[in-house]
Amino acid sequence: MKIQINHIGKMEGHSDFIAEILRGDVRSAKLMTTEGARLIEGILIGRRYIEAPIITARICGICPVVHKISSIKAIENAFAIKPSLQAVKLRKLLLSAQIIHSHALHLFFLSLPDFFDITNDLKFVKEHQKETHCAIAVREWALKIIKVIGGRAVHPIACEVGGFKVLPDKDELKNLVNQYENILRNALCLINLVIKIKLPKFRRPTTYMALSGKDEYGYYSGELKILNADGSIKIIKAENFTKNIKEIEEPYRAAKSAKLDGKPFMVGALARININHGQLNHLAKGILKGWKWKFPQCNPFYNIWAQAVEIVHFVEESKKLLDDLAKNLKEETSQGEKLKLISDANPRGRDTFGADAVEAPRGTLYHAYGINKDGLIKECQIITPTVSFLKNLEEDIAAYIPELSRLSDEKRSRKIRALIRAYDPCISCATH
Amino acid sequence: MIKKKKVKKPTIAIIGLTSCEGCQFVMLDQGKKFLELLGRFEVQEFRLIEDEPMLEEKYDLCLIEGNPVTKDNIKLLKAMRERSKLLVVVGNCAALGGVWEIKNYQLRQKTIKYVYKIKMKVANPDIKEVDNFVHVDYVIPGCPITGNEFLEIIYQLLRGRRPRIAQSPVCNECRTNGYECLLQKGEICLGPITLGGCHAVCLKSKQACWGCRGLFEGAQIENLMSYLLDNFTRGEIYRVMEIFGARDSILRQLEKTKKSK
Repeated sequence: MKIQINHIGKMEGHSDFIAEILRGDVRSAKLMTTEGARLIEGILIGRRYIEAPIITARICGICPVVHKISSIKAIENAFAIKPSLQAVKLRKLLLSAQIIHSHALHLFFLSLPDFFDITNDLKFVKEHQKETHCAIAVREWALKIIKVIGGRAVHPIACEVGGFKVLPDKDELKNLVNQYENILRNALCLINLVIKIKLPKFRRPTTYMALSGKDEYGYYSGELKILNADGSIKIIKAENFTKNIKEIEEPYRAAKSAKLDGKPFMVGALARININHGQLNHLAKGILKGWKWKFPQCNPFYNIWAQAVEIVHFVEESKKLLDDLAKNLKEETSQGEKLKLISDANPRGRDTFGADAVEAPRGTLYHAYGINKDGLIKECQIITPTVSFLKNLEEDIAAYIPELSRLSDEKRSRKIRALIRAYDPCISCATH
Repeated sequence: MIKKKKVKKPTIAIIGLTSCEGCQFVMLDQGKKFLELLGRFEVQEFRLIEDEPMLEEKYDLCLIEGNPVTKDNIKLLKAMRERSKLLVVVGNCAALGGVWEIKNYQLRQKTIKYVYKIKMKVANPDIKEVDNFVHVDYVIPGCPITGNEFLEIIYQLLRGRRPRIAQSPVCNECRTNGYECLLQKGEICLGPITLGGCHAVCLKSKQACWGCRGLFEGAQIENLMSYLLDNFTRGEIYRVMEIFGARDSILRQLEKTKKSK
């Protein structure tokens, strides 16, 4: 028997799903990406390093901020330059806002309607007007943060290697602070909708990975913490990412996939919550406590609950950063300007290599560049969260299909699509 | 064009080919305004918000985002053209090829081999703009598109008007807003020849214009080229033009003007 789902909608990018089942055994479950390959890593070879953050942002229209920041950090590592503390705070604020707006979109518009058995968002929006208003308000606040700091919401402009080309307006930061109470209320309203949905009782223990910070819920920097299915923990340095995580090429799809020490693994909101839940901000922590989860939470559908609690966490995080910056923002020159990096050459005067990882909405994102002495890129590797969790998603579907054997084809297809969407895959990112 | 009947709203299809889908997110990011706009249409095909679209035979308006990279992309594009009264391309990938067009200036086979070590059945054509495949009625330019400009153009189409973006350079908006001139500062900036309407958003962030919106009618390319050639090599200038796929159209236009003289 074959299960085939063509053109899975309501997610970033294009893909089909095919499973082969022989006498009740799932022989294979494959997510076939149908997105055209853009060969981003290839086209960057020979280009000037300053183009990398701008071009790699175009990998994804929903998470351009993380590609930009990850790319900038990797290049800064190659050049051994450190941005100012203020620049780091601004980047963290951009990242927080990025996670909020991506989650709010995915959760509310792409994934939640599945659990209300609605395939068309416009219908879902009509039936949940209050919550639609909340989701849009939260998104708009986060998009505004990116616009104020980055100059534009989709494909922000102001951040560069070394810091920021221009700094945000203090009054605009203050305006954003003033909206906090209202935005928090809207975020909590979304939580109330999310906890009403009944998720399938499916669980499959697996390996989780996320950035882990010393004294914060990891997202901008830190070490990679790996939580294995047997409860053991392994820590690796972000720059050693590719020593442990290997990309796999398969002839049947343009997107690559990856394994961690030879095994499928999960990244994203659920992985972060499983690993770093003790470091959540106050309100988010309280909400999670109320759910009485046993960690690790091994039901992948709960990824959307994890996203909901992360929305609250990052709204709180943004408030902290906004308060600080609205008060203390100082005029400063970007390291990029100071080192006269505009002249294009590698400031270390020789060939260097730099890598870095940040937490994207969908999980750990890795960028690495080799840059020659003239400032031209000679090596580039980008491993996106969807590439990382693709194998794990396929294994989850394979384990889930037998539980759906009594359903009609139509209902089974919907359940599979709901699981795929709960992962929040970004096929554009995966097929970069 | 779009006839307003009392009972039936005009039908719209929003199609994404190969791209980052950022322009579709600019649409979604208009929030309530976008939902209001969609309310004026019968939305028949919009993958980003719909899982089981009901395919119509004919569309009044079709928006094409992204670049036709795969065979399926090209097939879909041609089918949508046949079924649509009006076809509007949205964003830099569809209009000018997108950042992936850089590949056209490299050895394609080498570029793909860098990404895939094993033999893949991955489409690797020269990147071509949508108007190489089908007739295009209107272009909404930019990487990404500008939200208010998008809404304005679609509302005009809805009212049966023929929208036209004012043909003036990014430079005008940059100057009006009082931003620092990066060309005078010594950077390669394509603002003098690039179609305005973006509010010079990059210049606001001290990022030189790299021409993502394409040429405006009457752009003085020769003037800019001779100015830039005083300080940069031709190669350096072309490299900047390549980033948003504008190099081919700029040089073609430059040839044309030279011939007509």
